[in-house]
Amino acid sequence: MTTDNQDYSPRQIDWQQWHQKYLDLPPGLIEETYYFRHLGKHNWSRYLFPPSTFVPYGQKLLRELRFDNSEAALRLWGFTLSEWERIYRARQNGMKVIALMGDIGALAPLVYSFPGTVAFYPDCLWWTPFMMQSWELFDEAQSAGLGEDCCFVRAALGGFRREVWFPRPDLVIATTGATCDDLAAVIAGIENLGHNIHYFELPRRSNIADRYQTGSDEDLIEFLAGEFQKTAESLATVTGTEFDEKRLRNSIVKSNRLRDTLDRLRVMNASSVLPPIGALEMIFADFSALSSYGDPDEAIRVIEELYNEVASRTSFGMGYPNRDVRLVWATPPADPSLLCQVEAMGCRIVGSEYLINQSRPLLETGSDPFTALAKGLLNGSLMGSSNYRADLIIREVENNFADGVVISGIYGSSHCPWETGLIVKALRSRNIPVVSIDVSPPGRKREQAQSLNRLKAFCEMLSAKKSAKATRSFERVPHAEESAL
Amino acid sequence: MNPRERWSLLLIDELPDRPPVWPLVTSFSASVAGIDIERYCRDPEALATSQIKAQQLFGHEALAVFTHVGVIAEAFGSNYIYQAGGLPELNKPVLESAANGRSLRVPDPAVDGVLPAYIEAMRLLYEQAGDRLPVFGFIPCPFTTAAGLRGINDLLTDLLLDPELIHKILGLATEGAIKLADAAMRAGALPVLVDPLASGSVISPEAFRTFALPYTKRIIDHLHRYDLDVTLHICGDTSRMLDAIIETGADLFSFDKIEPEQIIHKTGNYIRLVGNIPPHCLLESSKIDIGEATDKLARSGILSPKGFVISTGCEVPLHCSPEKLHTMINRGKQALYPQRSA
Repeated sequence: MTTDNQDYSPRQIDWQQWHQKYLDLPPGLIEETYYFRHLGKHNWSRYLFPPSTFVPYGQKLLRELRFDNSEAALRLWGFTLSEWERIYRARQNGMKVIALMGDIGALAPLVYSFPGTVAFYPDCLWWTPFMMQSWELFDEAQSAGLGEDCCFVRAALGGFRREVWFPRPDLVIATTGATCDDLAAVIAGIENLGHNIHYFELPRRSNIADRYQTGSDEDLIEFLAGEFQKTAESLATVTGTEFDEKRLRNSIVKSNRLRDTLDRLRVMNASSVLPPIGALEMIFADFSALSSYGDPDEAIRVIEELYNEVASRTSFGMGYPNRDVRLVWATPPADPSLLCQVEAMGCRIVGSEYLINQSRPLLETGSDPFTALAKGLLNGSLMGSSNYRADLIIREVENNFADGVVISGIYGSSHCPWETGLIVKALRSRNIPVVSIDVSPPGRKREQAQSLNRLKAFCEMLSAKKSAKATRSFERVPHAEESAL
Repeated sequence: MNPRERWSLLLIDELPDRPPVWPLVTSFSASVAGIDIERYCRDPEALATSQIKAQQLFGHEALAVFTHVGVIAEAFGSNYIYQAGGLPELNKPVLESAANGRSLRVPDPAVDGVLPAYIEAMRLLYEQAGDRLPVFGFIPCPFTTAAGLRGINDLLTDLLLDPELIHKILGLATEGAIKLADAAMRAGALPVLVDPLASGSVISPEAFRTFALPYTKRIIDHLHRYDLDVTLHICGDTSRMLDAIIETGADLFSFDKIEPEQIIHKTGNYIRLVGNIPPHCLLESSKIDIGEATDKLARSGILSPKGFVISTGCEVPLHCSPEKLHTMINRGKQALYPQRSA
């Protein structure tokens, strides 16, 4: 999807600049970029629109972000930001709406093996108060008893109560067992609203920890495969379609294609000399692995185009200049502008642990498909012990030669402070510089300023350390005369 | 469900719990806030404060930036008189002499006339309440702007005697409107195109097709390129030009003097409708009559297939009684869609 008007010099621009640049796109390209292709071309399914399209509809934070200037990135943004409308259009066209909660990417391949379904994650509504700079969803959750002592995921309960942010799901599949306490409270609130919930049990956290250390997890795989099988039965009832193993295998292949592209994209992003794409584009690409933003076929097209753009830039050695400090980011920042802020401080994100590790590995295609899904889910970031998660982060640091780690904690979360403490300790024991901040809720400017200052100090420290190291290396190189002697 | 959410559903062909209730509270908000009209038109903070105050008082479900229909013409150089107790009036059109047409420059909303204040008011409102209320920016359509550039009498004469000149003027007015609409969007506002002088009470359906439709459509096409939902408001009786109005591509039509049943029957499958309690009712009718008129409108409106907004046929009058407006809004909010109320 490249046009003659493409600006090949990678840079980040703001929404106003994209608004202007957008006029250079040929109208035909806009018309031909649409989702749900199996339903034909409609005005409502076009999505190649710039951030400025979404601003008048209340997405206020877009005015503060920086976007990559490629058409591939524009397509990613348009696709991501149109997700909520897409779910409604799915229902208007007779598709079954399945809400997934807590599994973070593991169940979507199973859902999509049932024809005429659309999956989405109400959990991801936690971004909405930040994108809209609004307390509306938090206030709604508060009125149901979930206040600031619960993490930002409480926005999902606000969304269910408002009955606006997505159509009423035909089925909610929610995790129980080794799921986070705050999400469990949200799910309980949703059940009180009378939703049809199928519970998917995650094995106990302590078990996982033991198995992780011993490497023996066959009974867990068997248990989880059984959970997937029971879920398939619920989906068959809701969709009125029998489960079909061949369709699940095909869905897994499709999911693998997306995961593989994302994996190669991450590697390329981290290994290129200059950062070829922004951290924001990377996080929203990463999250496409969860439910493909409602359209698996189109998600593959979007991510492959982004990959091609990044590959092309990398092959020409092109990227954003002046981003010398290499960071790993742990826990997705509910306020996405933080990623832009650290980039503006001269950093690049070369690795991440966004709690979606179960959506990353390629699923086995040769074995029983339920077993394949179970094995994938066992990679889950939150199911394992905190040491497991710390190891995931250390692996990202080592593989990607990161200078430090930022952990963006979740304000009010019941588990994060404990886990963050353990992870920080584990990283420091390896001499890996780390800063942990709490993401402040929208509008809390004093708290935000404090976090930003801490981030700035951390980035400056890493930058100075890196410069000093470079100077020392330079000083150690002997002069030609000295060598001769 | 807050007003922003209610509108969002309407715009994606979903029925919200009930139709949004949005009487066209524009300059009336200055009366509510005790601000004189000239200040309201020129001072963005005064306009934004008035709008917020009126919305808090009455609970209508959108904020609107609209001062007078000549804002673009004024930025082109026409002279308007601001007078106490009334809306600005055209004093001296910049094209009083047809020969001036050559020297016109399309205004820049960032610097010309009252447009910078106009846009800044939109930005302020979006900043303050954009997460829960839609902000509408009113953009005069080319035909109405042409009337402000040439004077309404000369314009109507030229439609017959010098159509070429009028097309040139309309072309410039279209460019001005596109620039203003673009600036409005970048301030966070959704555009409402207003064309009171292209009403069936002023020009014929043929004249509308020739002199209004193509230019209005050009603006709407520009906004549709960005996928924005565009509202078109035309006052008066437009019953004989409904086909042409649909051809403009507008997503919502704010109508005035047409029976709701008639317009719903004719256009309800193609366009969302916004209407139409007559503004004079808010001055002259009793609260009981206003309540009944709103109930009747709502009963028709909820049957409109593409959706409906309970509104006024034109701006809420400057001297409207607050109690009467309250009555209209409160009664409008009782109109539940049967699917939801069940």
